[in-house]
Amino acid sequence: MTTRSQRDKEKKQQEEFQSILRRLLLEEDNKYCADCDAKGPRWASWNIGVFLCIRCAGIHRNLGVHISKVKSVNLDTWTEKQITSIEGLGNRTCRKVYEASLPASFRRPQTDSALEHFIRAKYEQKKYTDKELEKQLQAVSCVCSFICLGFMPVFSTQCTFIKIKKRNFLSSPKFSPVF
Amino acid sequence: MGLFFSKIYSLYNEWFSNGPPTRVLLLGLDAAGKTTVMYKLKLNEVVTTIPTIGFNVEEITPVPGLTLTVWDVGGQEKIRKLWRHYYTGAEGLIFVVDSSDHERFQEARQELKGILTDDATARGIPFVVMANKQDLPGSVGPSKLIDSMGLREFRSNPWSIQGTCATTGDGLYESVEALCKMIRTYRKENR
Repeated sequence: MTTRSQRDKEKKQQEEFQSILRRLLLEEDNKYCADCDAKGPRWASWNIGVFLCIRCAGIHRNLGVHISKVKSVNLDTWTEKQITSIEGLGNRTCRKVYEASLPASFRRPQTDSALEHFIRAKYEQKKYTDKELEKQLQAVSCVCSFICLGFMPVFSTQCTFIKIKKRNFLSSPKFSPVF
Repeated sequence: MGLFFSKIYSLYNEWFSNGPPTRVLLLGLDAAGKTTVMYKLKLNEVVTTIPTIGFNVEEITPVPGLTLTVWDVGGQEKIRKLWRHYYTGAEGLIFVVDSSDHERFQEARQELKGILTDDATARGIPFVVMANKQDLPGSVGPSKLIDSMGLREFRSNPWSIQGTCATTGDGLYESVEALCKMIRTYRKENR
């Protein structure tokens, strides 16, 4: 059984995560679906690190959890790890990585089947991916999850100082030289 | 003689006429494949789905003599609270699990337990677990899933498990047939 104080704490944390997500969704690149450019995405693939529209979220779920782990911004509860991942990535970074060799004249498909074909090419076959960038990205996300795990115990004692330090760390230029 | 005819009549009813449809729930965590399962059963087609917000309901007749009204309710965490409004009158449950999503087997177990122990759920209703997405790399088979989800502890309900792949249709009919059989037994016992 969970005690009341625990529940309150959890609720507070969820509210904090929701406010982070709201802030992220205000960024220019996150205002549009990473795959089809539809306006106002409310879904996300937290391991890839992109915000999506509901239609592309449906297609992402077809890929399987070994490629994409889909969550709703509002209808799911998020964990520290998931928030850290999406906060460190986002549509801008992911486009640079997964659409590196996509021709500028490329027109995003609109029909369901063409869109699924494009999404599979983009994330499953990684046709347009910059492999070097992807490697660096994996290294960064590895460090991030390590930090997340390492700071968890301290974090749960509500040491806001470390929390601020951690957030700065993620966006510090030292660890994102390529983005 | 009258007894003989009424026996034949009830047998006929049981096997050939579609009585009132049986209410069956189709539940599971988000992205388990519930909607894909339902439309594969209904239309034998793989439809392009989007995450279900709310519910889908369809009538299917997998075996002669038994029509099922299947309720497929969205599985996102915050809308799972709505599941309980569908429990009343349900005579069977299909619980779909993504067998490649190891991290969430425990979560799936908790939800299944929640459904079966809820006050609105009829005691001892049969359920079938679909170990879905067998085609994906890293998916576990039914016997492994029994252990991972601790299914052996569900002793107060008749249950069965079947490995399925909703996109090809493998195992779907087998699991629904198993459920139909259990529902028939359940009805006889509760008559």
